[in-house]
Amino acid sequence: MVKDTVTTEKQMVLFELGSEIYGLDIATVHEIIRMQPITRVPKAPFYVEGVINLRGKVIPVIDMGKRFGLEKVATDKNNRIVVVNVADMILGIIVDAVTEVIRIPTDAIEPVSDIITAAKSDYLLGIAKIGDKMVILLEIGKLLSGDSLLANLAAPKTAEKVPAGVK
Amino acid sequence: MDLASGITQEDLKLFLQEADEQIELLDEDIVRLEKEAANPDLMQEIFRAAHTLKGSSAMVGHQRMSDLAHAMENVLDALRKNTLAVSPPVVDSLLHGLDVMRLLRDELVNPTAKETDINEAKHELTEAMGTGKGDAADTAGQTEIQIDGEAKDKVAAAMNAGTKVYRIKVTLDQNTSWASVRCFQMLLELSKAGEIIASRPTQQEVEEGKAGFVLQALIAGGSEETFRSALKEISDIVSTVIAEYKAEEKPAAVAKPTEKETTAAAPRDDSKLSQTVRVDVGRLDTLMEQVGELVIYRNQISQIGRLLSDKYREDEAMQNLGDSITQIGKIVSTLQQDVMSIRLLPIEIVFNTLPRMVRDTARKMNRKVDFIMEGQETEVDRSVIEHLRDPLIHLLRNAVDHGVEPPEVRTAAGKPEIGIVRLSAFHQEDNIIIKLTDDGQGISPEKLRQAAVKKNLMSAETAAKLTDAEAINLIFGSGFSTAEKVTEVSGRGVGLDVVKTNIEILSGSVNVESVEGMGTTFTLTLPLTLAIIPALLVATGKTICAVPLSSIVESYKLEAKNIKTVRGREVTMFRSNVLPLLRLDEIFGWNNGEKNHVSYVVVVKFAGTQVGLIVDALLEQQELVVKSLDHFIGGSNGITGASILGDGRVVLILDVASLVRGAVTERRGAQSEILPS
Repeated sequence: MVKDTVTTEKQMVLFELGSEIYGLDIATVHEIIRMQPITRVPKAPFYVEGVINLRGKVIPVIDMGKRFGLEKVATDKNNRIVVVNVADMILGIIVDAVTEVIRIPTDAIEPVSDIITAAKSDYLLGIAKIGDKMVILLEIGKLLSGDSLLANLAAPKTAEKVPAGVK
Repeated sequence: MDLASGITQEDLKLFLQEADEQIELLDEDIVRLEKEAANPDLMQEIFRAAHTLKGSSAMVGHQRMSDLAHAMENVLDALRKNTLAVSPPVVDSLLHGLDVMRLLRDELVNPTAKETDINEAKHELTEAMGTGKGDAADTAGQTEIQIDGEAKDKVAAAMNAGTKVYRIKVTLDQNTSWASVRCFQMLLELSKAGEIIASRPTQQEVEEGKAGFVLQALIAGGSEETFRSALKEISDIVSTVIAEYKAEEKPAAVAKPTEKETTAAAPRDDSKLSQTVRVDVGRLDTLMEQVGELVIYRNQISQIGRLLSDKYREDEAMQNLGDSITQIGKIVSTLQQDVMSIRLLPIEIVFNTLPRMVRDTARKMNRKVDFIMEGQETEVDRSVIEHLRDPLIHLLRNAVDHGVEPPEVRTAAGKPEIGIVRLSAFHQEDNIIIKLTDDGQGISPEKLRQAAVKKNLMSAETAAKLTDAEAINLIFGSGFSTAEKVTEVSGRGVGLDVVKTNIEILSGSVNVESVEGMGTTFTLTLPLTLAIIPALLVATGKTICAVPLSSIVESYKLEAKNIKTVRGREVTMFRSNVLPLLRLDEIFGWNNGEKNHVSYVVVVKFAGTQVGLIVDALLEQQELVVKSLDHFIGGSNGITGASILGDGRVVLILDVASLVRGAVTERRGAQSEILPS
């Protein structure tokens, strides 16, 4: 029975952006935190708001709204930062609000029709109908992989390599 | 290539780990062999390593690797048994064999690599076996005293009379300039203790000033104690070996070599190995992070504690709390120091691969070089250590190729044929200093002045005005090489400026001093760690950022009236030079409005150029724990990292190098002279 649950359901975190609802696989979500002051970083991509201090780690924070070309809704106390783990890098995503965590049966997910989506859109896992809402499910890894951001993340870290033979 | 059946991935991994260790050990030790042939422990270590390689490679099924190890083992066995003498061709064959060994090892990780042929290497090894059959004591020109006719008689006479005959070998410190004097003193003192039958160098040679650093003598009469006390007062003696001479004794290596090494440390202390632990670097980093955070919150608690103490001065509980906070503060500081020290590695790791390189370069360029290393135990943070390798290799190549002259040139100039290249490392305050000295031809300030003018880097008048020290430092300019022709090893004129830039990126500095005809010294200064940097916090409007202290020349208040505009760019006069100005808020796009009020300027330097950064306020100096920001670093970003302040705010650490470079490119039109820094 347990095996069945794993393959036939996805557990998703739902959040609001503009007037749409999106979902992210909970396995990729580290935590959800309140908005906090963001330190701007010069010459970063336009949707990168800056960096924040997450318990001693400095992580970048991006504005999902800007990334999708949506109107940025006025910041209010519902804004949250969804901290995700993508390809071993941790980064935060600013969303308008986080609504719920929900299990979605995989057969309720419909693949997105080719007509609707643009070329590089394998980041769209599909669309699910929950109640009377349409939830757009995202594949976060693919979402950022086309980006120079993640390309930089994948680049080798500046040398802290320890030479062979060191005990 | 196919492994033996039954070998798992785990086995392979273990084999590779061990093989890599053995190969590295062999690389270092074989080079040492040329100088320390009489050292039986070294010989054993090398033999054991080759033997282990042979066995384990056979076990994993790498037959060719085992065969090659076997061939090397044969040569090593002959050396060990003194039926073969250590000589350059022998060492060459061993080193070449080792290189092939590395290729064979790589085949195991790269299955598509084509199979390396071992026949050439094997052939070279067998050839080497045929050369120089003699005894192992015949090292690098140092021969034992020949007991010939007259001496033999004297020895016989003495022994028949019941007097003991001794063989003495004294080694002098290679740094001393008084070798001949010391030898003279030694012969004098020893002759008071007994009758000197023969010596090498002879009395005559010593008087003519032809002594080397080793004195050997055959003395009749006296005793070990009298000899030692006779030599006690003489300086510069590094080691004394005294043994009774027995007739028919083969002039082989003296029974108990107690010679102290002036070169790389003696064979590894195996007992130390068992006291170390292998730790995954990731775990160390996590530990560092945790401790870093602890420090931040410790600061916060201290601050709050102070406030509360002031408010509730009378409360006893408050006082106790205050004490506890102070104690915790101390413990956290110590913890931080201890964790930082875990990250330290001895610079030996970088140094140990150098002798091989020096040897190969010297052989290739036909130089005779004695390479001495000191201070290998000096410790450096792992963040810095890997960055040292390339600059050192560059500088060493230069020293051997350009510094040390060919043997004929040296003897013609009255210098000893063998050039000395000395590499030393030591701590000084918060830095590690690495000095590379050679006793070669030195750098000519005049040649550099001329080259600078010829390359249109400056006018003849400016060149003439440079002091000798400044002229010598021109050598760090890009495109600079006064070498007549580009050799395979160096001379392309790219090396030194890259070295200097890379060192400066690490917040370090490099200096050169030289005396024509006598030699050159390069001094590298580097911070002990890149994980923590002292910085000056500055504010522009509401934004705070950090400027690494090592890049700062000076900071002062700047009045608006002192800002001039040249071709649309702001500048000011600083120490009678034109200083280009940069406004941080403009560069980073923070809009802070008014330019007219009084502000502060932080003068920073990089690669010989100075630039002034305009800020609103100078805050405080702090030691910041650097947090990596891999994704944002590099390019024209202007940032090298971030840090977290005591109140939890993130501050960005400025990349002075890119800021200065940016300013220079912008103003290329306005002919800015390179300001010496």
